[in-house]
Amino acid sequence: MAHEIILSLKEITKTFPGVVANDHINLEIHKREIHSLLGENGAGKTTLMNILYGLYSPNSGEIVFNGKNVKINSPRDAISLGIGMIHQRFMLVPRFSVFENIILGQASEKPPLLEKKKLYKKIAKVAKKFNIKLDLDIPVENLSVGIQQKVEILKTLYQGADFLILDEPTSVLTPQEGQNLFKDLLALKEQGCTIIFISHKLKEVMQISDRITVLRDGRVIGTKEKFETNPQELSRLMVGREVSFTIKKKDCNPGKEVLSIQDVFMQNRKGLKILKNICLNIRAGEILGIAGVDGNGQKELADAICGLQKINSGNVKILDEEITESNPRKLYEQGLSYIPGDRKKYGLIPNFNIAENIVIKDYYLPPFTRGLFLNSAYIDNYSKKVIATYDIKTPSHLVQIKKLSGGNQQKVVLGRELSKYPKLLIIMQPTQGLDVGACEFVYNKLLEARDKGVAILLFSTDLDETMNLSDRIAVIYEGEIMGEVDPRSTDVGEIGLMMAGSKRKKANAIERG
Amino acid sequence: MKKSKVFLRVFVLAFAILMIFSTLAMTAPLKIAIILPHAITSEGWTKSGFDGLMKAKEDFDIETSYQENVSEGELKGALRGYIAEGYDLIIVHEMGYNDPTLEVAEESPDTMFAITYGFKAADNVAVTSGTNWQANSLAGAVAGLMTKSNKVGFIISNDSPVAHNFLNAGFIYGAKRINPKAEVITTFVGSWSDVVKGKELAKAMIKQGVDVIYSQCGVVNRAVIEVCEEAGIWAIGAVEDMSYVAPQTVIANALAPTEYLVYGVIKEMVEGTLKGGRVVKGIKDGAEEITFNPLLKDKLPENGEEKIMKLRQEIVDGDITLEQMQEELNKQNIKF
Amino acid sequence: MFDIRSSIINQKKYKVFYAIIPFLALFIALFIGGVLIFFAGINPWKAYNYMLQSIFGNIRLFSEVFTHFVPLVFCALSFAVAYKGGFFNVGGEGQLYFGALTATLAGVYIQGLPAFIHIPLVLLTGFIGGAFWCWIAGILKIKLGADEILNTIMLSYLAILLINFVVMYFLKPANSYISQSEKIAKSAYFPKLIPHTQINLGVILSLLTVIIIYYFLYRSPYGYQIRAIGENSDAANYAGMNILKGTMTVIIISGGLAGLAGASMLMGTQYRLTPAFSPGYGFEGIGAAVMARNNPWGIILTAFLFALLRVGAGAMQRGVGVPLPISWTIEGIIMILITGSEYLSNKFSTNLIGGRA
Ligand SMILES: Nc1ncnc2c1ncn2[C@@H]1O[C@H](COP(=O)(O)OP(=O)(O)OP(=O)(O)O)[C@@H](O)[C@H]1O
Ligand SMILES: [Mg+2]
Repeated sequence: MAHEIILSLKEITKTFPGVVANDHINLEIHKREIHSLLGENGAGKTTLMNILYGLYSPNSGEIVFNGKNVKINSPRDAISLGIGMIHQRFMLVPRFSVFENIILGQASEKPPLLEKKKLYKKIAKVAKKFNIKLDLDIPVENLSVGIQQKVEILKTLYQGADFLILDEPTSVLTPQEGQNLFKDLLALKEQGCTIIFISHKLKEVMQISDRITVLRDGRVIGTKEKFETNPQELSRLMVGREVSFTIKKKDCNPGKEVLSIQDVFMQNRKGLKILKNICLNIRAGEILGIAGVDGNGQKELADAICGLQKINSGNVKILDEEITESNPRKLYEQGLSYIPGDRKKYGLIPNFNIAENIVIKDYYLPPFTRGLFLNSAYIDNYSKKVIATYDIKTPSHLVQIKKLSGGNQQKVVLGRELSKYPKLLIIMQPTQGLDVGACEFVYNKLLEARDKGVAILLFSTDLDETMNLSDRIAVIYEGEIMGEVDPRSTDVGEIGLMMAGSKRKKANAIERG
Repeated sequence: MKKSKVFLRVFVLAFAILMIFSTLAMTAPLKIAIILPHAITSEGWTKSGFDGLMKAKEDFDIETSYQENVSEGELKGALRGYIAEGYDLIIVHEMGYNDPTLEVAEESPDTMFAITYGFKAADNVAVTSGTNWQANSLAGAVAGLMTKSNKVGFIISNDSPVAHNFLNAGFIYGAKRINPKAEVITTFVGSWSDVVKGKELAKAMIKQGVDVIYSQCGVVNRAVIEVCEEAGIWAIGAVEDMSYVAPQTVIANALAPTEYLVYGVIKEMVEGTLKGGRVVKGIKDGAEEITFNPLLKDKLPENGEEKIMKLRQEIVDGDITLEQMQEELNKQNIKF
Repeated sequence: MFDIRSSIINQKKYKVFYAIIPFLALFIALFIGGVLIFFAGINPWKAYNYMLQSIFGNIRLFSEVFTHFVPLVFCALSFAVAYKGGFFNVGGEGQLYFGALTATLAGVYIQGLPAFIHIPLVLLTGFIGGAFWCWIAGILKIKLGADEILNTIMLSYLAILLINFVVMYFLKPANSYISQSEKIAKSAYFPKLIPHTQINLGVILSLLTVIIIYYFLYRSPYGYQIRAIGENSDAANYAGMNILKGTMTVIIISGGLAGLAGASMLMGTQYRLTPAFSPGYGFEGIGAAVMARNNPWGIILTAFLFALLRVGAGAMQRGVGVPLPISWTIEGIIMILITGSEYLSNKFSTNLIGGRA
């Protein structure tokens, strides 16, 4: 086929202390294609993209872009070549408007606010060309994550990029937002952009890509046309073994009630109602899934149960004990384990090493502390065990967390919380950023915990996941439980309607005010 | 070879060596050092101490050294440094360092020390001081003489016992003596170099109706004079002749040239007359003086100069002392 | 995938690289300083030579380095501990003053105690004084949300003015014309380790404190908690740590250490409180801590370097008349170079060594 090759990477190698992240990588990207990178956690995808964007410099190898041998020493170099990267954590200033964010850091002849009109027109032109609709005057903090991502994309396009790198863009999006993103990406491709797309979700990869390259242990395993491959083959290439996509679940065998939530109301500082009249209960040995579009009060509900946010009225009982006056540490000691959704922010300390992060909740308890001092021998051993069990890729347990790959960071948090069997586990987005193998492992772990009698409250925006894992599903919409369903007898469509707030289930049907 | 010739040679050589040594010994200059509390660039007090040393260096055959910006914590180290380097006289140009200097002086009885404006002396510690009040009370007198609003201002660097009992007491006495209706407003800058604050204080005074200001505060003096010039009121120069800063504004200068004290100590040292003990020098000794700006002499009220000179004479003759001034103020229930 | 050999080599290389940076900075700064000295009309060789000789040529002069070293160590530790706990305490100077004030009270007005009781007592009061002054800043931050950088620095000025006032109107002996307190009791003097030098108990105490702080920060659960709060208070909160209590602990320790600086100056060298008690150790301590990357062991080195520079600057001036501003410039250049090289090496490490955005 006569494809024009826009980028070719030749024998790219990049090592970190103790790790060969990219091992003689050869890769060709065609002009105007959507090319997906697949690979296990720590396979080297992000590293490779960071090299391309000038954030890292490779130990050896060449980059040929548009037929020319180029050296990319900084993001500035990359942008001047037309290469743009959308980071996972957006680099936007929340208080600034969309317009201000887009022109931020761009060279202009006059002070940019003096030429506001001109720049406005320029941005509007770019937006129109790529068919992106955005209100430029809204402060970014008022936008949903999906729209913020759009702003990032528009910003890169405005800088003149026509070669876009998106590293796990969908991991922060709801499925609906994901679909919107894909529409935009296809439009971009129509307009002549080339896109590299990274994701762990095979469904998405199969939907959007033209070609797919699989990395493993820093090496290229192969590149496939989408039409000649399938998810099974891809996951085999990635992991090196068969991965089962169906979850085998034993029958649920619930014990006594562990968590009971009665009439919980919560207001935020501005007086907006965030949780309204929430009533839920979970028994030992069952998984209650909470389905809902992100931002409908899930985080606040979980925080409230864990004593991290105050509720305005109602009560929460764990094992028949009122917890409203308790604090997170006491609750943890009583057997409550909480894995928040934004792990980088709430679950990890980037500059601490893996071992230190693993003991973040237990450090003060014996045997982690002996006498006045931390028992480092025990901590080391313990964390080595967690690393081995959760297959965390790292040269040592003393590596700073921030140096792990995204998925491996997630695994540290999961390993920390799942290594013990709490009485109640609250887990949000259990598999975000995990590769298929790790997903399978986490699912099994959760079910194992359930079978051992742990009560699990599961929050996930991935409906398939919720359907597969949960014994019961409650749907949350605008801080309100729309109803509870049995996943075996309900279809996705019905839940979808409830998630959108347009249908509610009888028992909990209460007048909204 | 003749023995006598060898003898002669040895003799000549020995003589020559002796000569060299003896001249060396004779000319080995005295080593004299000064320790300054602030940086020389901060002018005023510190600079004038340094100038005294430099003037002495020109006039006498001495080897000199200085260390500036020596804090209380560093003082003993600096003193010991000079002692170890064999200095003959070490001048400490800060009265607040009196006690620590005495402590080090005790360790090293063969070295001579001098403290300017100090209070306590010892066998090897000579303290020379200005009176702290003579020139100041004359400045007060001039202020009292010149004011029309009957409000005069006095700006002092740091709040200290000396500031109250000497500077301020003298100034207020002088002002009241010439003009019983005069009211004195005294403020403290809290530093020798905070020009901005000094200016603010001066402006505030002017707002209150003050029409003569006397600033006794290092570098700040110049800035205060400039403020007075702008506001069109009288200023009195301190320590040195400051008329040149604003020739139409500085009516008089209360001189207390500290370099004179430093110079005087060195002179006595060179002449071999310096002894431990405390000496206070005032107008009589030429260590303080009041002078009028010759350009503005016609602006003085009638008999003005005579009134000031009369007070000056009383001070010189010892007809009035600081204690009497303080007593007088106490009697009138005036705080100083 | 994991090549252990390359890991060891790499890590060693970078360790060495990090260790070299400060010395390189020192060298460059001395060189630039030399050029300046030359333009001031003085032979730089002679100046530096003189400096080295007068510092190292005589144990009594050398011991002067410790007059500065001891308070600098305490002040630097004070900043470092607070920094690790996420509290930006730039008011060490004021806490030093306040600690010196309380220590003076205990040293002057409590008489007749044996030294082994009086010394710890005065140290303790110094600690409490400093801690109290820092606590005010902490309360202002926690209750009113006032920024601690402003708080601590303003409180610093306030402390200095306050001490000025207290010394003059309350502590000054009635018959003295000089604004200074009475001397503390002899029983509260630090005993000298080497007679006729400045090497006294304070040196041992400061080094001991370094060790204690190190073990506290890196080996104890409390230190772990403090560092976690400092690094990411959200995660610490979610992990169940009590942020308020942790921050308060940090504030008390940090202020207390600065207070100890004041007490140690009082008991080791000055013996009495004066208005210009400290020549800015509180501020210089920040520099020493930053230069040491807030590492307690590193602080020993940087505090010593700063103390050397202080003594050396004096010596160069006494010996060959190097103007003080040049010595200040040298010190300034060292600090700029080291903070600059920190930035550079960070950039270098994200680029070559790796570090995530
Ligand atoms: N800055 C760094 N310092 C040290 N090691 C690093 C650094 N960045 C990445 N690594 C290591 O390089 C390897 C590849 O990491 P990379 O982030 O490229 O993986 P990835 O394929 O993006 O994984 P994931 O799917 O989990 O995001 C990992 O083992 C990681 O620990
Ligand atoms: Mg990645």
